[in-house]
Amino acid sequence: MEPIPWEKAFEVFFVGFGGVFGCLVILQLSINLFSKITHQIENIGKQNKGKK
Amino acid sequence: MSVEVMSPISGKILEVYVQVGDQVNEDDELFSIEAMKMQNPIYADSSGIVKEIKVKQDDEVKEDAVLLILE
Amino acid sequence: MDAGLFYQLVSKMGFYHLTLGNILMWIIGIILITLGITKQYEPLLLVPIGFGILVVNLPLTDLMKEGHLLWVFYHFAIDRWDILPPIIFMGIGAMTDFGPVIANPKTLLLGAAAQFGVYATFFGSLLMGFNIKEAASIGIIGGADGPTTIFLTSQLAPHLLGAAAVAAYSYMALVPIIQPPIMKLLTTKEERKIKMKRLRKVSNLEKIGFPLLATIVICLLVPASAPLVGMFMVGNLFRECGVVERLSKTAQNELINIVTIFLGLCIGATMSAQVFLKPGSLYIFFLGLFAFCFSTAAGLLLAKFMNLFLKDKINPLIGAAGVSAVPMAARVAQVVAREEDKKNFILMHAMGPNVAGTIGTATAAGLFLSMLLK
Repeated sequence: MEPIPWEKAFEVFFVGFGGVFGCLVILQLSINLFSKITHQIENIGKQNKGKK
Repeated sequence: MSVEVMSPISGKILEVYVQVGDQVNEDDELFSIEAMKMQNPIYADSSGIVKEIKVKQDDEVKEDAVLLILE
Repeated sequence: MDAGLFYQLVSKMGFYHLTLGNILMWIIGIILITLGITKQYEPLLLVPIGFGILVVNLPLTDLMKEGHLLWVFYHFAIDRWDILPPIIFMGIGAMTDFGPVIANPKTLLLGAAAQFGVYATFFGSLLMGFNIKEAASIGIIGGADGPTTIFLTSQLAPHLLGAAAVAAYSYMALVPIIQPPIMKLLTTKEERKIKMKRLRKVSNLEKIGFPLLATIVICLLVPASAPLVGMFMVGNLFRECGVVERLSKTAQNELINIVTIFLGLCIGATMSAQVFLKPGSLYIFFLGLFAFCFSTAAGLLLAKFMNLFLKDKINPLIGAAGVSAVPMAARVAQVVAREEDKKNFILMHAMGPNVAGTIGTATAAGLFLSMLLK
């Protein structure tokens, strides 16, 4: 049985796990931002309809 | 005093357990809604007499749709 | 009669070459088919897999020999081009409602929590003697996602495909049995009774923008996850944009069914006695179970941890739905919650982490690929 490549394993773990968490955190923040923007767009749309 | 019973989830009405004019008590089972392949019973939040039933079996309802009005 | 002629006749029959291993595999194949039919354990996959196992263990049929029927399906759909899992993801995306995620994006983190199980199992597998690529393939079983498991394993450790896929789908089917004890162990009655605020309404514009946004963000950060995430999101776009109803319907029905048929048969076909009947397969089954349990626990604990900082508390049971078994894990969360308070409807809230789990597992697979595929 070959020796366990601990260094590589930890590398995969940190990048992998950190990567997933980081990716999802960024996605979460993007969604928050995105929702705010879409609501603004919709509000402007509603205001325009109201004025007409 | 009217109380609206709203659906907590989107789904399809499987069964309607009451009729107009029935006396219901809190926690009585009013409907069964199918959502995500699960059968979900809907209970009364308060007591009263059924004044109006807004849905029938096999109707598709959305979350917060009014299902029933209690007097 | 000429003994030589008789021998020629018999040696062309499968019977002559039958090994004990073959017969054992028949039994396994038939057990899977039976579980699928009688107990409805993931029948869409287990029935074709079971049959594939049976047929590949009939000697001399050579269905998996180069150029022959099952080999062709396997080689082009999984082995060489690995296109079946992404197509399934497109179908799943077309069936998925991301509303709960958009309404409460915090729940994405609960989808990340399930990855704890993946990495814990990754290390566990290394300790049990598997090499690093094999360990990653076994670890991803903890993500509770069939197509992702197949997608990753066929590229990193194709010889483990059968065992990993069967383990993944079996445990997914057993979610209603595996999860509740863990959920009750790690949460208090009070916590399980927590009622969550109604999810806000998500506008159509948000639902259309989400798949685009998610694709851009995730694929820029983890390009290797693009085959899975991209297809997931295009399926979702089909569903939400409202103008390609035909495409959405096809993706969710005919297309995914066709692909599932071939996928099941091919996976079963990789499980010949020589390949499957090794101690490694047994280890994979135990490690897979460990992965599932760990992921469930991690999701629950993260939810409890998040509650320390949140004004509107989340019901920690939805943390267990962070494993990607959609919608089973969400349903289980609902059932357990209603045991404490029959009026507590957390099904839709649980869908948030559930669906996030799918994204999380696909992203994790992408990262494994980018780090381990030469």
